[in-house]
Amino acid sequence: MGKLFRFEWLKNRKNIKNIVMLSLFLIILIGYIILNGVLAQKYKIDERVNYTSDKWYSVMKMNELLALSDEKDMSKDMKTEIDFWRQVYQYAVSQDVYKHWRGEDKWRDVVRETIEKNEYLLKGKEEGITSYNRISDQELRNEIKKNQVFLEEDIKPLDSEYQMTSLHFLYRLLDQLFPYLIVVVVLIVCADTMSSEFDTGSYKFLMLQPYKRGKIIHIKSIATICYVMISVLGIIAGVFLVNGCINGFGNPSYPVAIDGSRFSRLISDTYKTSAVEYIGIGKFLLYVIPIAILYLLFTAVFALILSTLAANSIASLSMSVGIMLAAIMLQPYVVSYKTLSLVYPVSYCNPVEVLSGGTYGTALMAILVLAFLSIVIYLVNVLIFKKRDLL
Amino acid sequence: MNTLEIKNLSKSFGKTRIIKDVSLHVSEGEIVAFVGPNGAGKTTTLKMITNLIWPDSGSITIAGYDLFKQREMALANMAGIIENPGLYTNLTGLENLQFIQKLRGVSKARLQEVIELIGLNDKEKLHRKVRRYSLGMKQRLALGMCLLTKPKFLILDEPTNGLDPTGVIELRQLIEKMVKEENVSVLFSSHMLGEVEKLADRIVYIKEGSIITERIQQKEDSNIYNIHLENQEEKAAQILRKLSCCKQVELQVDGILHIEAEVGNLNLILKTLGENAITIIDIEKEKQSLEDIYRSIFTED
Repeated sequence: MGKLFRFEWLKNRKNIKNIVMLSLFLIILIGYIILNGVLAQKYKIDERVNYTSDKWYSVMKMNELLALSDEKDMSKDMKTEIDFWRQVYQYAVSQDVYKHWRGEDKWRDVVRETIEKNEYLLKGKEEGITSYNRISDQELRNEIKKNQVFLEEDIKPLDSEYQMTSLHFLYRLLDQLFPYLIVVVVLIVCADTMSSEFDTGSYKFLMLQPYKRGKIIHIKSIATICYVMISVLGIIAGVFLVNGCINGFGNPSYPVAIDGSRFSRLISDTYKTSAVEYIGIGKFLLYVIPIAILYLLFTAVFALILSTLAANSIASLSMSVGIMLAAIMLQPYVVSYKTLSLVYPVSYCNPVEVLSGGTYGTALMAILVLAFLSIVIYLVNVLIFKKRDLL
Repeated sequence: MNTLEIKNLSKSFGKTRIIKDVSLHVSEGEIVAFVGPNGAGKTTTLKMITNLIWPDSGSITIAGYDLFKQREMALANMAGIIENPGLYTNLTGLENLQFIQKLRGVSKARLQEVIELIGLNDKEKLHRKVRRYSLGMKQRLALGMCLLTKPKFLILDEPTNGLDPTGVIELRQLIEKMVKEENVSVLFSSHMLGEVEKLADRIVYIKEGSIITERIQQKEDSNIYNIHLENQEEKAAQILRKLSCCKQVELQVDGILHIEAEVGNLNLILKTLGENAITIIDIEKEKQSLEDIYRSIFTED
């Protein structure tokens, strides 16, 4: 069996399609980091010259009120509201001053101003002074909690979401590129495992070796899955390390939102209430990686079964990518049927969203569903191959 | 012991019965040709023998091992090329050979021996990717991959397809050499009656999924007789097989004894049958060419 495994590994390694796919994947990752670097620089410049969003918003609200009447003729409620927005404006200006004009070491003052501003906004909403519907009450509370963690852990917040320390790169990769890039790479590498043998007729030589059919499909599947997992994860790890040397690895305690009920329940409390907890990004990524790997495994076995069923590799590649993308596009509609979304595997295609409570099912549910489906699809694939007439 | 034994093999695809109760055998060191028109069921039968297709019923035994119950042992004694040579085109010729060599624990000496046998000992050709091989080279490489493990039984599905005359001659010589030196049994299908005539010891004719007849191929020092008996055909076949002058005795589906015997021994055959109270209705010495036989079998009335 070891010899056959080594041979399957060699075939995967020498497959031109695989080499091209993985090279493209590497190029896209590098391009992603460079693009975010450019955006991060642009964001820094833009922030200096433009109004920050709360500064702009408070000015807009004051102008709305002043458009209704002169300040001296305003009702008591309107005067309270305009004073409220003046205070918010002051907070926003202070933030700017600390952030841009008094130096990088004044970030703690910026965070304190942000906390005070958000607490003030929350109080204003709770007391009915203003509606302020740009952000919900719970989201404001989450922001306050997050900034408190920055102060407590003495962690400087990132300048922008585009800043690409390695930990943050990994987080964004899993959040943004995982369903569309990494999944597609795995699909394309795995989708012609058996069908490419049908293309060239080489399955006839393979099937004439003294192995049971079941053993052959097991070894081919395991070799392909190992190859694609090691290659994809290896490329990500390599980019992570190189990027870390250039842009820094980042602080593993940097707070990110997480679903408090992630491994203790099947249905997410955070999805219902939006109340998140915050843990360090390092710990978060350790939790998210098993979900990501399981989803990739599910993707791989899905591609393998299509490869066994299809008559040629063009059919299997097209079907794999087409069905998976269609399933992702259907996901927003499936989400409205909560029970269905719990067992719909593509609901868990964004592992960061799953772990931060953005899905109806928790991380525990994701693990159960993906593991179960992967096992079932794998076994069905083996059964089909064992019984199939190879014409 | 027969190297290959097939009994009552049947296969349907949907409602269409493709193979109908086929039985045949290949003895040790024998070359058997499988002949029939397109769509007769030759490739389907060969695919069932190699377990690429599951039969609906019947049994297949290779070197004494049941193919379905002892698949690994049966396949360890067999090698074959079905339809076109299915090689790994992304790999070089040498890598394709090494696939079998390493997988089956074949020695490097044997690998080198086979490389020379198939005429691919040019380093440049060996290290070239298979996708840049000519059809003849692919056929030779595929045959080399079959021979590496010294199989007892070899299946070849239209091995001369696409080969030029030189390639055809070389392949025939290679097969004859394998049979002579390594006692390999061969079952091959072909449309090239000239090659079948030169190579085969026996020819099995198939039409519309059924075996029509089997004929022993006449050699220079022997004659072929078709003997029609009144009864006791099985007993007669057993008696004649014990005679040293009878090289092959086949009882055909129509009850006719088809015998290959050394020249000058017809009297002995007739005398032996007479002594065992077996009545002969008719006897005919086969003079037809293979083409005539083929035409007589497959031309519709």
